[in-house]
Order: sequence, then structure tokens, then C-alpha cells
Amino acid sequence: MPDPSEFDPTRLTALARSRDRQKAQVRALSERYADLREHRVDIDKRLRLARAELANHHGRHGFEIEQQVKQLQGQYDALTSQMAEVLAEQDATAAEATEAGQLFRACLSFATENGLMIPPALAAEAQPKTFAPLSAQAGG
Amino acid sequence: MLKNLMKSLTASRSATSESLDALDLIREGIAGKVAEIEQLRRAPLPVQDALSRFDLWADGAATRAIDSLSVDRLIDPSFQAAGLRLPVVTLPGQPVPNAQPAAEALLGLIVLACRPQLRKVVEGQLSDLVHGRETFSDKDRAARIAEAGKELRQALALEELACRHLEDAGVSVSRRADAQPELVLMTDAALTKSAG
Repeated sequence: MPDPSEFDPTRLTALARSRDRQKAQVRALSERYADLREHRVDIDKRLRLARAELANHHGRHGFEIEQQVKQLQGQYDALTSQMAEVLAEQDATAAEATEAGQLFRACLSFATENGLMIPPALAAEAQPKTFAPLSAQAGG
Repeated sequence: MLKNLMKSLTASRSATSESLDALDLIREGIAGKVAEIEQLRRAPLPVQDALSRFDLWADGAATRAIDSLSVDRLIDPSFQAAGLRLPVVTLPGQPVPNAQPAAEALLGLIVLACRPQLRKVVEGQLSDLVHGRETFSDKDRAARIAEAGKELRQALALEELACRHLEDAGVSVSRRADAQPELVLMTDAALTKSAG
């Protein structure tokens, strides 16, 4: 049995904060990815329209549309590249968030098993999960 | 090595990048220590210790072999054609006899009949197997693993100290998922003591 005076259970709060911060970062990256994707869908629509228009126009007007197609294609490629970067960052952050979650749970278990004082804000997480049997739910 | 890392960490209190480098060094040290412990666990026994195990096994194998031959049949007047028989039995429900006990009995008899020769061959084989490798007796191995384990624990404590130092400086660091909860939850004072 370890000496309780050697431990500082409030460190659990810092670990939970770190876990939550990383989870929030994953969510933010996920939203950023969705925004980029939405933007790219919009650019893709405009690019298809411009290409269709280009097929029907020649001369000066055709040149202008051609420039527009090039510009849109550039935007499309840039967005694709950004999406790949965000996705890679999201994967890395998600892995870190998972590790932070695992470490937090391990520390919470250690604190609970050794009778350390759990910070009130984390008391609910320290409670063992109980599930009502299905029959109890069906019986209402 | 750990003392040097600690000095490196202390000396770099004002420089975040150097502290991160120090943390990387500590983590390299931890990985090295874990590998060292694994290597110690797998290191072979000295030939003499292995031969002691052989002797122990050979004693048992020879005894079991003789016991399995039912020597008492030879003095039983009710057996007309008394003789020694290898233990080959067919168990109920099994289509073929179980030859394993008979094979073990034969091996035991070989040990009994020519143990010194077999021991010499085994000794030569073992000497070849451990040639150029560091060997450890059980006692030495336990002592070395305990020593390396102590150093590993110091390095792990140092890693946690480095993480806290960086966090205090406002730098976000990721702890390993398999970090020891006991160290992560320690007070700074107890952690410093654990780090040596």
C-alpha cells in the first residue's frame, strides 16, 4: 500500500484537462476538415460549370473562361492539399487524445484503488459504470 | 547517465527547446533501460547451471523410466512369460495406442545406460550455444534486473519531472499512455526523491 502523503490527486484534474484539450482539438480539426470539404464541393461545382461554359465559347470570352478554370483548378488543388494536412494532423492528435484518455483512466483507477481523495469534479468519472439489465428497462 | 540528464534538464530551465531535447534523451534512456532488462531476462544460463538442470531432469527421467517398466512383474509367480514391457496403452475412445510414455521411458533408459556420454555431448552443445554471449546465474540475473529496474524507475520519475517542468513553462507535452500512474500522481517532492 503506497503512502498517501506522497500523492497529489489534484494532478488528476490536470490530466483530465489535458485529455479534454486534446479531444477539443480533434473536434476543431474535424470541423476544419468539414469546412474545407464543403468549400471544395462548392469550387468543384463552379469548376464544372466553367468547363461546360468553356466548351461553348471561343475567342476573347473563351480566354477569360479558360483563366477562370485555371484559377478554380488551383483553388481546388490547394484545398485538397490543405484537407490532407488537416487529416494527418487530426489522426496524430486523435492518437495523442486516446493516449491521454488511457493514462487518465489508469491514474483514476490507481487513485480509487489506493483510497486517494478524488477531486469533486471527477467524482462521477470515478464511479464504476453500472448498466440496468435489459429486462429492467423492458419492464419499465 | 541519469545524473547527466538531470543536470541537462536543470541547466535548460530557461530554454524550452533544450528541455524538449532533454525529455527526448530521457525517453531514449528509458527505452534503452527497458531493452536492457529484456536482454537480461533472455540472457542464457551458464553452462554449469544448465548442466545442473540437465542432471535434475536426467535423475527424474531415469527414475520414471524404471518405474514405468513394472519390474515387479518379474517376481510375480502368476505371470507365465514375465518380462519388462514398455508402457504402451490404448485409452478408451482413442483409435491408436499412446506411444508417448513409451518414448519417454526409452529416453530415460538411454540416460540411465549412458548418462556420462550424453552429458558430455550436451555440455559441448551448450558451450557452442553460449559462445560469445554473456551468461547469468538465476541469482546474478535477479540482482542485475533489480538494479536495472531501479534505474528505470529513476528515469521514469525524471521523465515525469521533465513533463511537469515543460508544462509549468506553458509547453504542452504528451505523456506516454503506459506512463506509471504512481509516478504521474506523485507530489513534486516525492517525485524528485524517486528520481534520485
